[in-house]
Amino acid sequence: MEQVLAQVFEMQTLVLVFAGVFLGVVFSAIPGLTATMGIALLIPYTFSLPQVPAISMLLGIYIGGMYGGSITAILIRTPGTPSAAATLLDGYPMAAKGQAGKALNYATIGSFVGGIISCIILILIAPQLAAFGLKFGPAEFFALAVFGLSIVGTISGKNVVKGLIVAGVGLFIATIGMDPIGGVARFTFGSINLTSGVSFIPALIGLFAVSQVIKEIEEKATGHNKKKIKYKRERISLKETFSYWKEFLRASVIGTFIGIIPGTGTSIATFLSYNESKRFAKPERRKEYGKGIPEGVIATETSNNAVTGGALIPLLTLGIPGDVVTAVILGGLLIQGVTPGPLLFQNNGPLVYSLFITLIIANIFMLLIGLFAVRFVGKIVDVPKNVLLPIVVTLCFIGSYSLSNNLFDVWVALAFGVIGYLLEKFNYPLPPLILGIILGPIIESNLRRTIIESSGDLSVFFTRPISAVFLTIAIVSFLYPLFKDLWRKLKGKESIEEDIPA
Amino acid sequence: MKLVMKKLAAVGFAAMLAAGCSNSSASTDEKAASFPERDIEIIVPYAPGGTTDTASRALTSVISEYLPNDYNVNVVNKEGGAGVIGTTEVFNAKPDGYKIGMTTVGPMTIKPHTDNTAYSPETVEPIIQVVATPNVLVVKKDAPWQTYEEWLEYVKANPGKFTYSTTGAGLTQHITMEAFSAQTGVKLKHVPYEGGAPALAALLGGHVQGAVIQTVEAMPQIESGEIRALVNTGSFKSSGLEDVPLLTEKDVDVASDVWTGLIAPPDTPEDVIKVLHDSFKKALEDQKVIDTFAKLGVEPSYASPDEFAEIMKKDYDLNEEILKAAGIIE
Repeated sequence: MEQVLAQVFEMQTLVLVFAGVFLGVVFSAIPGLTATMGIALLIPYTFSLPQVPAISMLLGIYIGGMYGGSITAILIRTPGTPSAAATLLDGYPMAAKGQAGKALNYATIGSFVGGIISCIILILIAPQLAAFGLKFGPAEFFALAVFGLSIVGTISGKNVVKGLIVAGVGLFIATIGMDPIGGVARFTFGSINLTSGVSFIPALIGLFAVSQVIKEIEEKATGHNKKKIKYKRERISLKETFSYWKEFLRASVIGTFIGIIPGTGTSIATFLSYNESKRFAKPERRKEYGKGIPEGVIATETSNNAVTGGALIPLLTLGIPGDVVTAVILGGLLIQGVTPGPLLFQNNGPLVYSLFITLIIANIFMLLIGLFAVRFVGKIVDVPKNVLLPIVVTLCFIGSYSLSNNLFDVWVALAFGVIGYLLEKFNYPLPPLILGIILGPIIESNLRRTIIESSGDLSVFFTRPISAVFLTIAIVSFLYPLFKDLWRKLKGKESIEEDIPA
Repeated sequence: MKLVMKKLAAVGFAAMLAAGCSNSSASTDEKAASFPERDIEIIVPYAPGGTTDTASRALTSVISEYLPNDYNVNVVNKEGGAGVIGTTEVFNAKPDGYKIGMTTVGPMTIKPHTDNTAYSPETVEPIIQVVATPNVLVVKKDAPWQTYEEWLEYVKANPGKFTYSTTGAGLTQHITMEAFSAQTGVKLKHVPYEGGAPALAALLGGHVQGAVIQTVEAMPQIESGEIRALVNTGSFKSSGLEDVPLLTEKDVDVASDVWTGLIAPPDTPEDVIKVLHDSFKKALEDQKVIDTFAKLGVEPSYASPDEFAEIMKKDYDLNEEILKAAGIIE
């Protein structure tokens, strides 16, 4: 054990963890660079490093990468990574109100708390939880994703019907590309660029960032320019932070839980966490969600970093990566001669402990880098629009291109920019579209897998306990507002204009 | 004045043309001798981090020692369309050897049938095959079948009952099993997942009865005893799995590996191919590369341009037949 500690606290390791976290933050903040890319590009460099420093650096990028996306999401409405998509919901409105500093601080602290709590869960009960993650078969994934769809009501703002329409469009977009079960191309019109579907990150960049730029140009041209927002350097007191302890805790648990299930993805965790935060909020506070409140930022940013500890559970104990990032980390571990799996804890105990300690150190570094960066990056808000917008557009297009070096993706970003602009112009909310695109493939492929396995018997969805629970909650969520409304009408009361979370 | 300028421009243009001509009319020998004159680009048609990508990077990390003139090879990832986008780019590149590509079974021998690609194995120039991995049929440790024979007996007696997961619909794992079914008449239930890891997770969680995945992906769980390999559907036995029989040893003529190799655009000069082939062959024999491959669980598997062309052609034809039989293409 002493030996392990000595290795972890060696200067080289600490410097590499710091460098890793820093790179992770930068890579995920810039649209078009992702933490996955950062890890993949650095793996060849780790060939020549000793085990602990090499793996530590990769974990550093992973941790930093979960957080960095929030910076651009909050400041310029450009989610650098899918995991920051939900951060927009309240992050950007906060920045628009001049509270960018506050939003960034909460994002940083949330990420730190989420990271640490999930890490503690990882250290304490990893093997037991891993077995639970495996219980998720096709039926459970389907139920979880349907439950996820019930969030549409929460993230639609005032108009739930429009939200449902947009979610439907999202689900449709998700069907473009290769049929996951039959292996046939759908809606691609013969274009090979569409066979793997509409590229998600360019679509995301287009929907939120490009559309925002178009909107700002319109405002400028029509003279409807809003009043100038000045960046305020706001500190948040510890007392204020602690007042949200429930938010931090709930988001951490949700994030870790989703992380444990291989194949769900971080963005689902953030949306679920946002939904639960709203569900548990006081009715008068509920209306404020989406208008820029700290709870929204905390719920999403805490949960995406909480995924890190969760996702490492199946990776380390079973050797099963839950998403692309952890798959790349798995490659890095293998190169270092570490084979994650059931035998890792037995054969390589000291290494596992050193990884745990590194994770905690990486989270602390992330907090420091974040709090330090907030002082400077917030100033972006002060940059005049005629300077900032061209830069944002350039970043968006370069970013879309560089993801897979494909010009087609730039067109995707542009097309979705126009779609996003038009939707918002006519008061259709954008987040349900993203939700549809994220959940569509999970719902479809797992529904069909379940049907294949059960030979067409649909009752399995309700005879399998986990699936039954999720589906029941989803159904109740869909029906409850209707009944509530009906009850009020029956009692002769006016229907209250309230946006009830589904 | 204007006229002078025009004349000057004309002269300059002529000189440029002449220079261009002399360059291109230089003998091919000279050209090969000087190849490469700048860095070479390898298109990897997948995202960074996969086996193809990591193997490519391991090779390129030592390649400058073996390429003439000390130039380097840079990996460029162009993912999408299940590898078709990157491979098409290589196919359309200038045939000068400066843009070559890694390709694998899927984009080269399966997608041309299903996706109407611009290229086919016959229209690209194979350089070298570098990696091949067999697939194995694995079951959980508490499954009732200890051997391939016991399993075969069960699936023959229970047609359409046995569920198995694979890396994806229409990929080598799936096609191999379709070929197996076509030959033996055994009916199995295929449940495709998105990659080897989810397919394995589905097996471990008991959601399917078996899985057909690459040996690399199965090894950690086989070593820890969580899963058991019943049969190898590839053409050779990978290290650590010498006891697992090949399908060909059990009188089933099915043997497909997941291979990775380098290709060049059509009409690339032969001597350029030779320079590339020789350099990459040496890189493949480099101890550092062998070590990295070993850690990844990937087996270096060399094939010369002619052999590689043959492997591609064989899989291409086989896949066409199976895809037709399975009703995926007409």
